[in-house]
Amino acid sequence: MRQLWIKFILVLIGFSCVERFEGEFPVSQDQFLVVDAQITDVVGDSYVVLTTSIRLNEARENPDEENVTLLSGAEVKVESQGGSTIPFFEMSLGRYLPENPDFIVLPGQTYRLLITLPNGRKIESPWEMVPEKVFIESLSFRPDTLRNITQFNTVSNVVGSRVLAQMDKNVNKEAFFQLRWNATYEAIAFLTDDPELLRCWINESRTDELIIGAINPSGFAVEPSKVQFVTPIKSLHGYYTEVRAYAITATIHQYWIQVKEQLEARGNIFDPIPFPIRGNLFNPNDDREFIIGTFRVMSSSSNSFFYQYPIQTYIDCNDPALAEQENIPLHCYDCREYPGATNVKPAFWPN
Amino acid sequence: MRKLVLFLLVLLYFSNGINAQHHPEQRVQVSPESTSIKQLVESFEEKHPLRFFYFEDWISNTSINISGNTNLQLGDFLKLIQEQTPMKVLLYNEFYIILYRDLNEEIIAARLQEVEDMKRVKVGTVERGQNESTSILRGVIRDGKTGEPLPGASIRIGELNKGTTSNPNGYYQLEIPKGRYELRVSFVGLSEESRQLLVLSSGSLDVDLFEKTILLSDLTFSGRRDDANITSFEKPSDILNIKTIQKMPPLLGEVDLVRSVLFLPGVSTAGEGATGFNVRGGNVDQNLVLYDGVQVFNPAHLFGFMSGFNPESIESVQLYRSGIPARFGGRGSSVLDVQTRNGNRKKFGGNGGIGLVTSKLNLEGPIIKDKLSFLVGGRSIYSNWFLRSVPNVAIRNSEAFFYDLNAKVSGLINDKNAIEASFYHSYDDFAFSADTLFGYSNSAGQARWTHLLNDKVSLGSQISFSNYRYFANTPEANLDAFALENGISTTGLHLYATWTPNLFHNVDAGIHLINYRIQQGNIKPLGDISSIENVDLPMQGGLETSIYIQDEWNAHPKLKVLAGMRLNHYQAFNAGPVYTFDPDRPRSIASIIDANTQEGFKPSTDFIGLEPRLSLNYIVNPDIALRASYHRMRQNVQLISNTTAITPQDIWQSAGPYLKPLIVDQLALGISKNMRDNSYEFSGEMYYRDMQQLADVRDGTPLLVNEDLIYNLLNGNGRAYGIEMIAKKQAGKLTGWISYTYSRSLRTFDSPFQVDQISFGREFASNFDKPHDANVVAIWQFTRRMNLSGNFTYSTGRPVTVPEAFFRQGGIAIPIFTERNNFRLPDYHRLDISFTIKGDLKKKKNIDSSWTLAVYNLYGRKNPYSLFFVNSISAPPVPYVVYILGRPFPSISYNFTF
Repeated sequence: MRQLWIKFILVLIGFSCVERFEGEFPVSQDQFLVVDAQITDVVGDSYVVLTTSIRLNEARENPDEENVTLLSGAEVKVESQGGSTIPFFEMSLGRYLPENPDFIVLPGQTYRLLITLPNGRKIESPWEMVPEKVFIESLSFRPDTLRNITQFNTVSNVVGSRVLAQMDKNVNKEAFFQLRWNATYEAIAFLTDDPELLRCWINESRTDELIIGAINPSGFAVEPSKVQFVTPIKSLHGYYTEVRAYAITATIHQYWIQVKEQLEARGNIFDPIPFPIRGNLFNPNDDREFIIGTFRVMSSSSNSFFYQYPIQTYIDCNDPALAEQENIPLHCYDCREYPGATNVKPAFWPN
Repeated sequence: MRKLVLFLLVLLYFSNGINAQHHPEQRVQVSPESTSIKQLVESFEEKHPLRFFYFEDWISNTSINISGNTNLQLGDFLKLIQEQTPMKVLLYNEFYIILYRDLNEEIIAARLQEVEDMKRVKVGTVERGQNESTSILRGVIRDGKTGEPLPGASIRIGELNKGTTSNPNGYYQLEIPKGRYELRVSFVGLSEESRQLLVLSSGSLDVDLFEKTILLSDLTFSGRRDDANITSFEKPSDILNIKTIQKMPPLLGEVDLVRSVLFLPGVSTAGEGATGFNVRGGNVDQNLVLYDGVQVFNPAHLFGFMSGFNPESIESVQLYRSGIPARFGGRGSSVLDVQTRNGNRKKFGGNGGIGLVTSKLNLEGPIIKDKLSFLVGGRSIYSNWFLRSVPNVAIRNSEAFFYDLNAKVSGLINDKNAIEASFYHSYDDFAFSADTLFGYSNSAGQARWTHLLNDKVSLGSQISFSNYRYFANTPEANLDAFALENGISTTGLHLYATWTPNLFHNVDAGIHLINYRIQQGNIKPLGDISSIENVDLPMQGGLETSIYIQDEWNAHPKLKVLAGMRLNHYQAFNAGPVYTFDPDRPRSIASIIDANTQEGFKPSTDFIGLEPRLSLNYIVNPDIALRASYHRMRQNVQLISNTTAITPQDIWQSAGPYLKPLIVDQLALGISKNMRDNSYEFSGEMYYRDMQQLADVRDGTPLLVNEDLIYNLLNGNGRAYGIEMIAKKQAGKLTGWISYTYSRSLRTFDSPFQVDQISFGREFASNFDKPHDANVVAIWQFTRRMNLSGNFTYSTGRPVTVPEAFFRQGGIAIPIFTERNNFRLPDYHRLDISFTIKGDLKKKKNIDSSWTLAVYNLYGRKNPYSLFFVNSISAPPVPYVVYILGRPFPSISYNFTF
C-alpha cells in the first residue's frame, strides 16, 4: 500500500528529469562500528564480523578497494541462557568464528552476544530465542516478465521465469523468514566439434536480494514468495536451485523491512523520512549509543528444484547481429571462462 | 420671512440648468431712465446666466442712481444697491445673487448651514436624539453591482479618528456623538465612497461600493489610501484580495488560492507539489482552514498542485497568525479564513473559464430580487489527453481526475435578520497504469443565521459539518485485492454575540461545540480470491467545547487593545479497550499493565485549558503603528505523518489516552509604516513560538490500518522564531510587494527510551525549515485591458535526510542515516509570468472575457525536488537528484463573465 505514493511520484517523474547529484555531503567524522553476527543451526554458518562503516566519499566501484577497517583483537562470545558460553576466535582479521567448529543452535534455545572491544567498550544483544524452523512446502517456476521502471523513467521488459517458494503454513505462531538461494545451471557451447569439452555448470547466488516474509497461522493463504528471476538462456539446458529458508525473529524481520524500505526510497517528499535503523545491539554502559548491525539467531530448512525452460531456441552464434547485443547467448562462449563456471558435473546433476 | 428665505435658498440648491459662471464684469446696456432695480435685475437675468432672489416689496419701487452709466457692470450694480438702499447682497454658488435686508449674517449663515445639511445624509431624528447622549450608526456595506454584503470593509470617520470593519454579513456598527461627519467606506478593489452625515440620533446607513472607475487617460489612483494597516490589529498583508490573486501567474491555467498564500512572508511549503502550507514553523495540520467558518481538512487537488477552492466563488481570504482572535481555535499555527461570495441579488449572471487542464463554471442570481440569492459553481479536470501525451507507457495508461462543487444561498429576511447556507464538496482520484485507484474527498456545509437584537447587540448561530475520506481500491482479480479507507468528520454548533456597549468597547463572545469522529482505517478483501484479512480499527473522537470572550478596547486615541480568553475543553472518546502502560518501559503490548475493556464508544480522557489572547496596537502617528501580540492555541486533533510532506493517507489522531493535545504559545512584535499617502506600506514583525506536545510516530512506523499505531505515537516539542518584512506598493500602474523572511523551525523528540527518540533525541530542523525566504510579486496594469504580472520566489533549500556513511552486509550496501534533516537541497528559486488581455470595454455587452497566457518557471530553473541514492551490490551508493517542472511550463486559459 505504501507503493501507492511511489506510483504517483512516478507520474511526477514523468514530467521531470533525474541527474546525478554533484554536491558535497556531510561526512561523518568517525567511522561507525558495524557488527554482522549470526548463529544458525547449520554447521559452519555462525560468525561475527566486526568492521567499520564506509564514508560516502570513500565509496568505490570495487568494494574491495573501500577503506573498511576490520576490527581485530575483540573478545567475542555467545552466552546461552542455559548457562553455557560459546567463545569465538578471530579466524581472520575482524572475522570471528566459534571455537567449536561444530557449533549449532537449536530452536527454542536462547542466546545473547557479548563483545568487548580492545578499548574496553562493550556491545551486547538482548536474549534472543532461536525461532522454530519454517519450511518451504514447494518450489515452482512460473513464467514472468521482469518489468523495471527505473528511477530514470525507462521501462525494460525481460521475459523469463520466476522461482516461487510456497511456505508451509503449519506454524504454531506468527513466524518470520528470510530466503536465500543458490543455483547451478548448465551451459553448452557449440564452438567446437566436441561439445563435451565445452559443457559447463555455472554456479550463482545473490545475497543482495532481501527476500523476507511472514507466516500468520490464523491468516489467509500465504502467497508464494518470489525468489530469483531466471532468464531463458540460463535454463535452456537445466537449472537447479536450492532455496534455504531461515526462520528469523520478529526484531530482525522488522530490521530487514526497514532496510528494504530505505533502499527502495527515492527521497521524495512522500517517502517515509529515513532514520537510523537500529538492530538489536546496545552498549550496556550507554544505552543512547547508536550501534549498527544485528545479532541474528536462526534455524533453517531448505528445498530444491530442477527446471528446464520449455521452449528451446537456437541462436546462430555466427549471426553478425549478435556482436551488437549486450547479452550474447551462453552457448556462444567458451563457458569455462564464465564466472563461477566449471566443467566438472556436480553430483546432484541428472544425467 | 425665514421660511421664505429658506425656500429661496432651497430653490437655489435644487436649481439646475445654469452652467455659466458669474463674473463682476458682466455688463448690460441700460438707458439712463431705466434705473429701477427690478428692471436692472431683469436685464442682467436676461443677458447673463444669473438668478436674483429677493422680495418684490423690497425692490418694486426702488431705483438707484447709475450716474449715466449706460454700460453697467454687474459689480458696479451690486455695489450701488448696497450703497444706495438698505439692502445687502449675498453671492451664492457664483451665479445666484440674493438681495436681502433685515437679516443679520448669523441668521443667513445658519440658513446656509441648513442648506448644507440638506445635502448631508440625515441619520436618525431630532426627537429621538433628545434622549441619547451618543448614537449608534449601523448598516450594511454591499457590492453595488451584485448587492452582495462585503465583509471586512473599512468604515472610518476621520473627524473622530474612529473606525471599524464590517462583519461577515457586511454589517457594521459605530458608536459616535451626534454631529456632522464625513463617513468614508473602502474595500479592497472597489472605489472608496464618502458620505456627509448629519447624525441626529441612532440610525442606519447602508453603503454600496462599486468597482473602481478607470479613466483611459489616467490609470494612476490618487488620494490617501486606506490606512487599515496602521489602525487594525491584523497586518493587511495577511488579507489576500481575490482580484489580486486572479492577476498572479497561474499554474496549468488555474489561479490558486493556497499557492498565493505561499507568497506571504512566513508561509512556506515542504516542496513543489506538497499539500498545504506551513506558517511560522507549524505543521500543515496546525492551520485551521475555514470555508465559511467550517474547517476543511484537505483542500487540495492533484495531491497539492492545485488548491481545492474555486477562486471564482471566493470573496476574501485572510490569514491570521499573530494575536489570533479568541473566536478562532482548534489549531496551533494559523487560521486561513476563506469567505465565499454571496450570489448577485440584483440579476442573473455567471462566469467561467476554460484552461488546458481544467474548466469551471459559476452561476448566480436572485431567488427573490434584492432579498435572496444563490451561487453555484464547479470545476473539473480533463487530464486524460494530458497524460496520454506523456511518452511513458505507464503514465499514458494512468488516470487522474478531480472536481469540486460549491453552492451558497444567502439573503436578508428583514433589516434585522440575515440567513445563509453554503456547501462544498471536492473529489480526487488517481489510478496508475490502470492499477490501484486511490483518492480522497472533502465535504463541508453550514447554515448561519444572524440577528440584530438592538443597536448594541447582534447575535448569530451556525451549524456545520465537515467530512474527509481517503480511499484505495485495487483490481479485484488478485490475491492481495483490497479496499481501504480512513477519514475524519465533524459536526459543529457555534453561537456567538457582539455587544457594543459604548464608544470604547466592542465585545465578541460565543460558545463553539465540535464533535470529532475519526475513522482510523479499515481494510477489507476485494473479490473472491483475495487473501487480505478484514481489519477495522476502532473509532476515535471527542467533543470539543470552547467558550470565548474578547473585547476590542479603544483604551486611548493612540492605543487599541484586543484582549480575549478562550476556554477549551476536550472530552476524548474511544471505542474498544483503553490501555494503561508501564511508565518505565516503552509502550508495547508487553508493557500494558491495565486495560479498560469498555463497550461502545465512550469517554476516556478529559483535557481542559485556557487560551489567552492579547493584541496591542499603538499608533505613534498617522503613518506609524507598533504592534505586540501574544496568543496560546490548543489543538486536540493532530495529523500523523511519517513523510516529509503530508499525504492524503496520513492519519488524524485525537488527543486521548495515548496522545496529548498540542499547545502553542506565540509572542510577536511588529511595526507598520505608511508612506506617500499610504500608497506604500511597510510591515515588519518578529515572533517566537513554542510548541508543546507535538505529535509524531516512532521511526519507521507504518500508518495505514496499523493496529499497533497507539504504541508508536510520540509527543515532542518544537520552537520557531523569525522576522518577516513586507513592502507593498498599492497605487499606480505597477502594484505588488516584496517580502523577506528569516525563520527557523526546530523540533525535539526526546525520551528515556531509545525507541521513542527521533534523531537521537537531539533538536533537528523541521521538514519545511527554510531560513531565508523572499518573494517579489508585481502586477503591471499598463492599459485598462492588459496587465502583465510576475512573481519571483527564492528560498533556502529544504532539509533532507541523507546518509553519512554506509556499510555492506550480505552484499547489500546499507546506508547509515543518523540525524534527521542533516542536509539541505540547493536553494529554490523560480520566476513565473502571466499576461492577461481583457475583451472590449463596451459598457453594454453580454460577456466580459479575458485570455491569460502564463509561463511557470520562466527560466527553467531545475529546482531539486528530491535526492536519493541508488544502491547496488557492486557499486557504492550514488546520489541522484530529481527535478519536477524543471523547465518552462506554459499555459493558456480563457475566462468569461456574463
